[in-house]
Amino acid sequence: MIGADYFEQQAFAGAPLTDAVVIDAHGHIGDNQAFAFVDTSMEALVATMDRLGVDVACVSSIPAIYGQSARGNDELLAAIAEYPDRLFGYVVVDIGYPERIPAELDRCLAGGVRGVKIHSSSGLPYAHPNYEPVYNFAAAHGLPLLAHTWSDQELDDLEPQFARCPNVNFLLGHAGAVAREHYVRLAHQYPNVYLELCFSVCPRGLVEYFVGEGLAAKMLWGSDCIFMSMEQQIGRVIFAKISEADKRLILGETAARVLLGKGPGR
Amino acid sequence: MSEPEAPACGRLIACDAFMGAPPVPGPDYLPDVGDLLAEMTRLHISAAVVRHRACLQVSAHLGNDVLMDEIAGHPELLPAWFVSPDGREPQFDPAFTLGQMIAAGGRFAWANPTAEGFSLQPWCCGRHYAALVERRVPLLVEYATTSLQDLHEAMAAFPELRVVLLQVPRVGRNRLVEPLLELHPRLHLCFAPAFSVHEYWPDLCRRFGPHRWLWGTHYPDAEGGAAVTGLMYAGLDPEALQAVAHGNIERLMAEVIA
Repeated sequence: MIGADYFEQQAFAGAPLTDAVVIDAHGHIGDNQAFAFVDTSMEALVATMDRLGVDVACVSSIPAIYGQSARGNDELLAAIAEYPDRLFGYVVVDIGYPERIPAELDRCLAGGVRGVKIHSSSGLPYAHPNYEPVYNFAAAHGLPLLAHTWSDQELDDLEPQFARCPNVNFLLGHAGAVAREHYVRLAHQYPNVYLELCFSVCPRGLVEYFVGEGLAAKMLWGSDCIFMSMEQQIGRVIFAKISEADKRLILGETAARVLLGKGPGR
Repeated sequence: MSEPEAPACGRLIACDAFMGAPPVPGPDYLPDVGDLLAEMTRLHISAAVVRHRACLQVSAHLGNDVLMDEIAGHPELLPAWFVSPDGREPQFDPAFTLGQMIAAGGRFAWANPTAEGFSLQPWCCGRHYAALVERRVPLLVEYATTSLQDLHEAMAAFPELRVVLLQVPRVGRNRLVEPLLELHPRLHLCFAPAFSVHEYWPDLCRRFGPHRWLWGTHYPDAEGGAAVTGLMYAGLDPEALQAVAHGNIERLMAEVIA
């Protein structure tokens, strides 16, 4: 058997990670114009999860991100109802239409979502007033909030919310996509800020850098599947030059606490 | 059947290593021979086709020379030379340069028309393509530096030309590349980390067969472990898995007329 630890051994064997908690903190369902997906079915998603040994995928609707929140969230609710033990749902709202936001948040919470996703593709910066009811809703219900981040400005716009909503666990999506030192500062400064790792180009050394900065317990593996594939993104953690214990934290143990538990730190 | 102490795919051979120090070193690694070999050892990669950065930074021919100097004594590093359409002085004959490469052990050529001021159109690279076809040498080109229209016209004019397209982006079912795959059966794609699309690799293998795909790690920029898991967990059947991991590249190398 080859591989430096359990995770590498399983990977070289093409075997699922059955002896670890594995949670994909950042995934999607649905269709998209620019990415011609091969298979958007829940069956394919769950089959992929089984192949890798992913216990839970935390997903939001792609149509909801791009302006079709009601229809997209309907699909999300149906998916998490069909796979309640395998899928965790993030609600996304049409941020440009503030009159729709409260009712959609309430409807989706009642339908089983357990987190909130915001994405700058909605057309408004995270500091825009339309986001206030979203942040407030997450705070009122102690829901984790995953934010797509792809610029220093987005991090700056989000930062005031970290202290204002101390019972919301903020996941900074695509951590390291921009100045990685910025992510490190935020994760160190705020106890409720976590780094979510999916990044298409799989930059070499980034996982090790964050761990080297003392952030292993504040990192969550995510794949961005179905925009990307779980199988590539998980290799960034499985083969990172870090300890097996840190891999366990990043691949699922921290997500189990931060996403599946309630409130920061629990 | 897997060998003991080997990945389940039998062995791994990467087609896309790109070696050589950049003008300013990055914070995490220096992509020299030692680093590449260490990565190959860590990831149980048996061999890698290697191109050298100096071919772009200085000149194709100096870069090829540097490559051969640096990989000397490491048979697991398989040289790919940048062969420009006008070859190298004093002959200025791409067939001659290609013959030198083959004699030196090279089984792949590569090109970057953007960097060295030429076109992949057959009117510009015709002699080059004829030489590649005559020796059955595959040509490596990167997606970002290649006009797909030029590639189409080249492969239409030279249907026996073997091409491997590197660094294909993750845009789902690629609406530009798939028609080329249908038109040109000797077009191959590299399965590497950035070509990360949910359920796509098994789909490509089903629709185009398992023999059109090589495996790569996008060394040095990407975490090579993502390439390993990308392949091992792709859900390919055993025949396709072994073909992508090593069989297809071994076949292409064996077909070269030495």
